[in-house]
Amino acid sequence: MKVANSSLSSPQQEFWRGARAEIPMVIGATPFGIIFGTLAADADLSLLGALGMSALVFAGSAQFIALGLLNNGASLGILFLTTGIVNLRHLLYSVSLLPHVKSLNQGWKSVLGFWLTDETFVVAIQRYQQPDHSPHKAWYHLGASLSLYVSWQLSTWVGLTVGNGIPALTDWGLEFAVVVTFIGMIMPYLQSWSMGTTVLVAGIVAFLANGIPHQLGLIVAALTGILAGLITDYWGSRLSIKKGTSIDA
Amino acid sequence: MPSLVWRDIFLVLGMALITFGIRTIPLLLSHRLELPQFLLKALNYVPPAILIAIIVPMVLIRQEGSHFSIDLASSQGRLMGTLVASLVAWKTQNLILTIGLGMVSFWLWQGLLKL
Repeated sequence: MKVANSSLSSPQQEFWRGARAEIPMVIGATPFGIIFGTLAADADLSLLGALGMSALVFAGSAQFIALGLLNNGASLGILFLTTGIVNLRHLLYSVSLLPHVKSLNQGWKSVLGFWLTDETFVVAIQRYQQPDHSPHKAWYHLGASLSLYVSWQLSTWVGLTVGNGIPALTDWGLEFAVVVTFIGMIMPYLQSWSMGTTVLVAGIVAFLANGIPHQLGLIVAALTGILAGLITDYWGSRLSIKKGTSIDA
Repeated sequence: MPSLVWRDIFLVLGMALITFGIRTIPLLLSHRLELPQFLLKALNYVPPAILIAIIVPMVLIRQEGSHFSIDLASSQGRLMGTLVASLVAWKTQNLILTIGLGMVSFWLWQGLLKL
């Protein structure tokens, strides 16, 4: 990667670097798009509805859950409520991006918000947190977003059209690709005891809280993990201050 | 137009509006909000916390309809893939290699189980 003179890179360069950085995420998400399309073809949802969901909602887990609810004959009210709850984690992403998008105009913010997903957030936030002061980091974010968006549309379409022609596609375990992709994204964060604590606690709570409906266990787990990380960080800095003073004395 | 199409139009527009609102409203207000220091610190922990919370149930929990169960026998392949992916990610920091070797070891283990 050419990071050396990234502060000098043009919007266009940032855009394509973002699009390229998103490729591993695309690999993880594509099987999901294909499986979504395949399941949608058999679900109580029209072709227009399936394509429209990927194009306008663009939220993998909410789309899958909607299919399940539709097949159970759920009402629109339940579908909307569930969509809101399942997508609550995006609120955390949006707030995390807040300090980085302040200088952008409302049009830019709306565009980036529309495309805000798990997979674009993790790639974009890494770029924003790099120490260089490039004024074009949002272009990197945009490139990553578009790269995932285009692949999601294509994979949905592939699933809808040829998914049923591939034998037992949903039995291949392709969705496991998301797990290994996310493991690769988590690892670089594990540089401190507090981050390690966050991951450990969030993982355990996610397992224990899995029975809570509408994937709310996910939010509970993430918040508990974050709190545990903050506490570890607090005690860690207290300890090092104490050590520091004893050396001084 | 058949009523199913109308329902799907409402469905998609409703879901789209809700999702867009959640994703965008904090961003649109960002010029007015000044986040306190502790919150900024806490937000650093968001990505790994959410990512791990998404994948742990995917590895360990089996879902059939609305019934959840822990079935370590059926999790074996996923556990193997998780282990290999973690080792590769730790040693190489290479995302593509992590995905590739993780998937291959998952499929190999699943295949071995079927022999």
